[in-house]
Amino acid sequence: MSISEVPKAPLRGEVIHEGRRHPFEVLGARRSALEVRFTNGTLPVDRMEVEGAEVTLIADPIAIGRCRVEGHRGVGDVAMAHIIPTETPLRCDDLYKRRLVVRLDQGFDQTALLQRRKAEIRPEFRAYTADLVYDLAIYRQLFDEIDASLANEKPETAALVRDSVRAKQGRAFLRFFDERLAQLETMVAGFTRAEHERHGFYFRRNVWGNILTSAFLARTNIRPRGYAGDSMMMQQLYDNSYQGDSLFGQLMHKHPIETAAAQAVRNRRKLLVDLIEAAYRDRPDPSRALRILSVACGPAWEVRDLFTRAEDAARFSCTLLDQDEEALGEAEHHIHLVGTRLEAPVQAKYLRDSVRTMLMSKDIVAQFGKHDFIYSMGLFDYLTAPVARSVLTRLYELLEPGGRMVIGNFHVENPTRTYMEYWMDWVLLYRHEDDFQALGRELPGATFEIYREETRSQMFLDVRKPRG
Amino acid sequence: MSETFQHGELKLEVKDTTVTLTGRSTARDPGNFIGPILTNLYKQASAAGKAMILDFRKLDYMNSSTITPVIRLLHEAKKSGGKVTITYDGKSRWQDLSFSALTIFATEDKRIEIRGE
Amino acid sequence: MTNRTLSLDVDPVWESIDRVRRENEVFLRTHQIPQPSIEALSMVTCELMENAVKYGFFEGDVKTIQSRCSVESDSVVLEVRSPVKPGDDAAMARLDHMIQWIRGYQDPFQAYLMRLREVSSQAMGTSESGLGLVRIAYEGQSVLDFFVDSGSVLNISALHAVEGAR
Repeated sequence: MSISEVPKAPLRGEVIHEGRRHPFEVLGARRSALEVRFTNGTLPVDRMEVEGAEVTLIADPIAIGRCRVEGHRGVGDVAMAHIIPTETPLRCDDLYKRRLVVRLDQGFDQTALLQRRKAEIRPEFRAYTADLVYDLAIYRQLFDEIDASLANEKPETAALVRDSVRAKQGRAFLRFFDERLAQLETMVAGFTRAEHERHGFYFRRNVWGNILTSAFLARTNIRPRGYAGDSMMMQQLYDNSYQGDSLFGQLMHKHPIETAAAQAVRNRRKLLVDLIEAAYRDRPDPSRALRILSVACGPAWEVRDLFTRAEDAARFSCTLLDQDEEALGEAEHHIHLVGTRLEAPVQAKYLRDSVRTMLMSKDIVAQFGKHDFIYSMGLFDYLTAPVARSVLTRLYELLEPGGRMVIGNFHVENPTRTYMEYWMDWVLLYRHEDDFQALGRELPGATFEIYREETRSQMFLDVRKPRG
Repeated sequence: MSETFQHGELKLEVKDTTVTLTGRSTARDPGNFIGPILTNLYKQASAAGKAMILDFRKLDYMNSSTITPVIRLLHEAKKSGGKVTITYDGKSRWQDLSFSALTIFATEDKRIEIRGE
Repeated sequence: MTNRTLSLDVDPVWESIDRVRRENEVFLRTHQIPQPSIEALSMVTCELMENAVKYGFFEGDVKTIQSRCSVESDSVVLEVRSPVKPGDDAAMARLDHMIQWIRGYQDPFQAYLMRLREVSSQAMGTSESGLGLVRIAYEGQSVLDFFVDSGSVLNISALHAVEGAR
């Protein structure tokens, strides 16, 4: 288990120049340079290479080879410099923050191993992938030719032509993509989990160039915030438009956000607003605002949708919980804007916490409050049964008598599953009605129903707590 | 001439520059036991210009802590120009998964070699 | 369902790891779990139990480790519960980060390679390899998850899809 503390002691080292040692302390780091201060008060050299340097991480000094020393310009302290390892470029930020000596080019060590992995790929899958890559290249070249031919055209004219191309050849391309996806689904239907993993990896390496043309697919694969389904991806899903610099890229972006799963995300946003409105009408205590808790709220677009008139600000009071500071900040910013627009501040509280650790609170009600409507979308798709059970039970404690709780989870029959796993590198824990039944049965006194939205990809557990 | 070291269910048999591991490596910190043996043998093999061979084929199980001293040895050998060969049972699923990944430390000139047999 | 779950309550000593492993193996065999899955789950049991013995905080009310092995229709869930030091939020945040990082890959092989590289980069003397959890995902073909309950007990679980299931 890698849960050891990051060492707090200062990182020290020495530069070796003409046989003499010059001690330094590391003050910070960029990706490829250490920011240091020479402790004897002067630079050994400036803008020059030295024969070697060492850093002491825990016990013995570790040689990092030849380096270039560059003194800081315009800084009062003349002993400040950057040390840039040149013999073996290193990830200096990792060296400083995590005390790890990681070569910048270390990934190349995997080349042979990864190349050999193709031996484990079924021949028919290799043939399918090769054909697909070829066919995509044909389409790409044709769309690129149109882009090139429009390069010097008036923007308005070019836009009209692109609309026309997207409507005809573009749509034909999207149908071609659908057919190929159907073939992929048939081909991998009997795979074991391990085979899915191996073939998915192989597949993405092959179509990587195509993935990068699509703003949406690139983001699901690269995950700049460390997880799939971040607020930018949600924005792209909600926008459901052609994005990108090239026609081919626009189509590659549009295709995944036209899927059933993407439509389900759009559907659930609207459904939530309807459910909250229904909960308001049926609220246990009409003398006060309906208290709403959104768990793993993300950018909380549905909350923005809820407030359309000034009087809505008095009808609802929201608590938004998420682990991602950026998503929470975004939700706060936009909800604040809604309040400004309506000239009625929205009552909202923002809590940064992980659902996995929030359960350790001894008095969860005191910490998170009681609520009339609790919902969570896009969270349970990542929770295994024991964790889901525990989270649900604790959330139920936060529900007022007469309150309602709605939990979303993608259904095992999600028709976009293979697409998500192979193209998007997006793996979820899918659930069946029986799984939700089992979860619902553990909630004392609860009545519940299970249903799916229009595309039947997304399933909801809709729980009601009996009135006192 | 061979020498045998035993720690719990794990046995290390050292013969010339070959170490054969048998049994199960489940100690709390196997590096304490394995590390010094590997380091000494690596030094001897390097001094003699020979390859050190680590034979895992008869090992039934190892915990993840056992991998650490092996990785460190490979890293050291790669850095210092030494020769190390690892042999494992390519037909055993766990051995194949655990050891084939160590190929990332292999060198083109076969100074460091990871062989599934 | 009780006959499809094996619950064990053991002392936090190193010897308990092997006991739990052996009992889980027998239990899984009784339920006709395929041999490759049994081997993978044995490794997962050992790694989870090792972590519990090594990092558990047994100076509070909870003095034992609880292990549960549940056979579902197409999967097996292993759970290991051990107390953590109350208020050690930083350790739990790191565990959370690590598990989410591992689960970010469709193919945990990628995470395993990354971790191997990092272990080789660590200075000598660092005893924790951090490979155990990654190995559970990669070699154990299991999805990791966890939560900490109000009694400061860490429940770490591994969901293993039985051979043939997705």
